[in-house]
Amino acid sequence: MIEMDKITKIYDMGEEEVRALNGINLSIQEGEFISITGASGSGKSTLMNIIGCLDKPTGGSYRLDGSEVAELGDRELADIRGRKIGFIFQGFNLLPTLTALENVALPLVYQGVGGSGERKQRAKEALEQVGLGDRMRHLPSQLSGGQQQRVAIARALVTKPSIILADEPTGNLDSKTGAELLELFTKLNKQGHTLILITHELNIARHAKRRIRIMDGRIVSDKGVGA
Amino acid sequence: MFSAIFKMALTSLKNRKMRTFLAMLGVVIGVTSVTALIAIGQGAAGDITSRINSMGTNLIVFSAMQDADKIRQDDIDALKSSGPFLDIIPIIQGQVNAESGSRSVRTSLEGVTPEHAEVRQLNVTSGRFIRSIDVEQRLRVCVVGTELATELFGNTDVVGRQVQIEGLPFLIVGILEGKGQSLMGSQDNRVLIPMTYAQTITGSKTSSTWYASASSEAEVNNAVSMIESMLKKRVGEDNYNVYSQSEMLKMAGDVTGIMTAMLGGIAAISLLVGGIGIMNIMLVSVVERTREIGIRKAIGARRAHILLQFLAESVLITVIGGLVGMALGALLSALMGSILGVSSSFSVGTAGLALGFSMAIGLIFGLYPAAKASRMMPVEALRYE
Repeated sequence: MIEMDKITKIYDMGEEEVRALNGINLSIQEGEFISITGASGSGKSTLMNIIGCLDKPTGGSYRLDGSEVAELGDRELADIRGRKIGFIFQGFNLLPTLTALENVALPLVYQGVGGSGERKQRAKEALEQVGLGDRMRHLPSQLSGGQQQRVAIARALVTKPSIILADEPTGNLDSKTGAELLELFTKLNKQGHTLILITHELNIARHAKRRIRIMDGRIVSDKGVGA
Repeated sequence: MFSAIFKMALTSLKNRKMRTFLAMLGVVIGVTSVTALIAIGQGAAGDITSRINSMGTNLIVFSAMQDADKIRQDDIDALKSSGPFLDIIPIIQGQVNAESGSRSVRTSLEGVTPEHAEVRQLNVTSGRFIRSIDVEQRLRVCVVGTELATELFGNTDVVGRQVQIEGLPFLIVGILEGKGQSLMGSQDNRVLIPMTYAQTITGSKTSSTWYASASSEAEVNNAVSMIESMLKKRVGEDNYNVYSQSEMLKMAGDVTGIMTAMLGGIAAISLLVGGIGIMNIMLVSVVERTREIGIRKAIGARRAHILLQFLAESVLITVIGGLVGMALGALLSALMGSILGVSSSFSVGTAGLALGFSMAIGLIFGLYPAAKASRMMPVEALRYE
């Protein structure tokens, strides 16, 4: 479903240019559980932004479900982010003024899902799926870090995306909560979701079936393909 | 989807109450002043129009600016007998002191004949009007307006009492029907006496102003041109004025129209300032909420969704502010009307216009910040701390 061919990303920093990605070739099939690791500055976050259509590559070809992303307009990209991809960020990125339920229902608003009743029902189901059925009316500030991240996961799941992209999802959590979250990821993968986990912690990356390492904008190892 | 985005805009305004209130204040002040000033302007125009209307549709007023004594009674009689006139009457006016006991009032005196009652539509509510015999015999009788009566005697039940006009005693024989206030002052502070006696009191032997009534509305133009040719012959070109009622209406309409437009225009500037205030606040808001915009885009918001949300916020501010301003404007115009003594006409049309205008302000001044928000790159917006 994801095919990347010689993807580059160059940031123009005035006098010098920074090659964040330097020829990435990557193919990902449906149902995989992948970790992408690398030191900070290795380009792994840039890669995630490009996979998630938040950013565009400078060169190379990226086909998502057969369509060339570079050729898509702003509106199609927004729809891809809404329907095909679910994001989970390190800093949770919940809207502070909305309740857990409203945060989870928000992607459905942008997808044009019918009435608010249907949106609430689906958001409720997603929150129950991550074990937060009893915290729906709480604001993010009234939830613990682990609970906020679960809300963020529910928000990523609510649109039933084909790919879930998680950028350092355990980075702001203690190790016990992190472990619980990894269990949840494993469960989601067993249910058929494609998971791409970006992290710099190797013991978290271990949980993934396929493990990719990035250094200086290049893939230096790719273990467990097809496992 | 629209209602959901609208609801989000409303929530976002509620979460920033102080800021929303201040942004709204500019619009409230602007719409209040536009609504109130236009209501006052239109009310004043209505006063003037109805005053002119009350003079009758057949009325023609003409006057000589110089050499009024060259116009002789013969000329007037000739017009009357050959033209389409019901009547042509001279009018003598002046300011006099009217006294009763220790009270003294400055008032306007008019010398009249019985014909004035019909030509100028002057009615008495009690007693009688000036009669022919009063004019012929130069009797010291008078008809007073209600305001003058009240100021001199404390009430309007004054038929049969005496009033001193410039030191001469006059018998009050009638009370004029009240005409109310106008921008040009009270029409009820006046005293009418026989034409023949007015010449003595004001010291002017001849009149320089005449009221003519045409035999029908259709004859007004014809009558005007006959009067003009007589005046041209007697006092020369450019030395006279002739107004028919329709011309007076048109003139008054022009003047009050300009006045209303000026008042509205000045008030509209404050609305513009309010709009700029909204733009300023929305621009700050967009920068502050960069991360929120990034999050929304990451979970699938299109440009149009972001644009719509920010536009909805600015339009909501102006519409709510506009509604509050309309209510305040209606109150203020009623208040100002009663203090200034003019009628104010708060019209639904004006209110609708003000509301539409404030919505347009919200759209115009909200568009730039909203477009700025919608064009943000998601990855850069997400990086914003």
